[in-house]
Amino acid sequence: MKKQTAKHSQVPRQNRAHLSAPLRAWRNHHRECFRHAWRRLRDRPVGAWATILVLAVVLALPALIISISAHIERIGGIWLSDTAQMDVFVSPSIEMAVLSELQQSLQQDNRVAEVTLISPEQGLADLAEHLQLGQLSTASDNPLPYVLHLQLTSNDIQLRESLVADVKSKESVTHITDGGEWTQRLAQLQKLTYELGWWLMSLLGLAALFVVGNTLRLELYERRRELALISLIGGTKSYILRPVLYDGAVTGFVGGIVAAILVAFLFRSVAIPMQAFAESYGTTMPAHVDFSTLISIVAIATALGWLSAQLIGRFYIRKLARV
Amino acid sequence: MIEFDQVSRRYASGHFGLQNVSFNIPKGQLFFLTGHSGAGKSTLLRLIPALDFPTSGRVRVGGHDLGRLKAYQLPKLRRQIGVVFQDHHLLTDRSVFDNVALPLLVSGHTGSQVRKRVEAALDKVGLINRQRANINELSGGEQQRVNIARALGNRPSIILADEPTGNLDPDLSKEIFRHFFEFQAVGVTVLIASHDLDLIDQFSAPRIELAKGRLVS
Repeated sequence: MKKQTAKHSQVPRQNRAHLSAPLRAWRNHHRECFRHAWRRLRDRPVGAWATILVLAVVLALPALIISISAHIERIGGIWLSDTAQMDVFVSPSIEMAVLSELQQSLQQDNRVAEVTLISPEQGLADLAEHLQLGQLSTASDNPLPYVLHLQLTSNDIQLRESLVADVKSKESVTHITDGGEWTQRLAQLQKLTYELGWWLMSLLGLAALFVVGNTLRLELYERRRELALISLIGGTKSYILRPVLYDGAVTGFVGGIVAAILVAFLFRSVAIPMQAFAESYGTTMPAHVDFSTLISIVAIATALGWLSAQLIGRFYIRKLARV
Repeated sequence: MIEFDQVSRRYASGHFGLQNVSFNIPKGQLFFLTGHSGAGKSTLLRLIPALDFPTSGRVRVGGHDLGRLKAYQLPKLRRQIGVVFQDHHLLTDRSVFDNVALPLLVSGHTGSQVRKRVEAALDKVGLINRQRANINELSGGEQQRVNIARALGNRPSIILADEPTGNLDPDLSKEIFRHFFEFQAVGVTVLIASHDLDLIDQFSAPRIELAKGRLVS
């Protein structure tokens, strides 16, 4: 009985060993290709690093533009969140009853958190303080109108726009200041830089595909005898393609790291004018690129390297099959 | 094991590499393939591992009709065939060990299996002590033996040899032929293409003779 148990327990172990051998070989081949791809950077420094540097420069420019675009968006966002408020200027000839009714209706509006009435006298005093004039007097009557200062419940742009439209439709309201125009201009600038950045990224990414592809093509050409032999002795397409894919991905990865360093460095060099720009809108911005942006650059570069290797590798294998 | 049925291979120029060739090599047999240069020996040998395909007729290897094999099935077929190339096809920037190990690595053997099989194959051809040597350091005869060891590593069921004794001296040529007979003795099907009739006459084995792409005998 004991013998039988031992015999039975041996069978699955043998099967496992049999099944795992190709898997182990597959894993070993991946490991070997990975190591080879890194050794290549050491053994072929000129070819490999020239490609890496071109890739880095090609990716750094659009990545920098996209990063700046993200910061411009942030400036607008920070301003809006800091100033979820607007000022409603009413007609100077408004009757107090109408003003009171307007104030009450705004207070009941669920988009408005708080309404503060600023009288013409208080407005004049605020202006004097702002202009550092101590006391400001006017020759005639105070020309300033009553102003309703609204604190909004949210800085959502759509909510703000709908409220502006509603308030503007009231007869007694002459003017609203909500920063909408400049935030719109800022948004347009941000959209322009963002789209420009991605167009550049697409075009230069295509160029990067060719640069990496051409380097790999030359290396495949040098190894053509070996690849033909591997195909002849039963190497599968994946087996032949695998080292090329690792070469492409590692080239892309290192190119991405260099591009990320370049972007970080370039961003620091434009940080001072960027901060001055942010301060002109009453906000601040960090003087560095987000870590997630840097990771994205590396990921995009790795993907480009891998894709380039896929395209050139498959093309080469098709050619090999015709030999 | 290897069956040709009315096989023709016509090139784009209109020239026939092979014309209506039919033969059958049973499992575990050694055959010589003879004929002058340009008779179609290399064309015939290329059809067996599906490196080329006939324009008409049918080639069957190990029961598989090669015309019906899918592209993904070809690597598996080729791993069952050991090819001894006329011009060696050795990787000159690698060692003897690495050259012999290549087909084993390609077919998914682990490190310890590769080592065992490479050593066994090199031992068989008498090069066990030269496994660390670079290919460029070897003589022509030694390179040909590495070529044979590489074909053996995967323990193939078929060995194809294209002019395996090309530029070797008669004694070494005989020794290499003896190796092939040893493989046949353990059940491997062997097809040796050679135009050296003097050498072939010294061994007893059936022949397939080609002339201008046609089967003569």
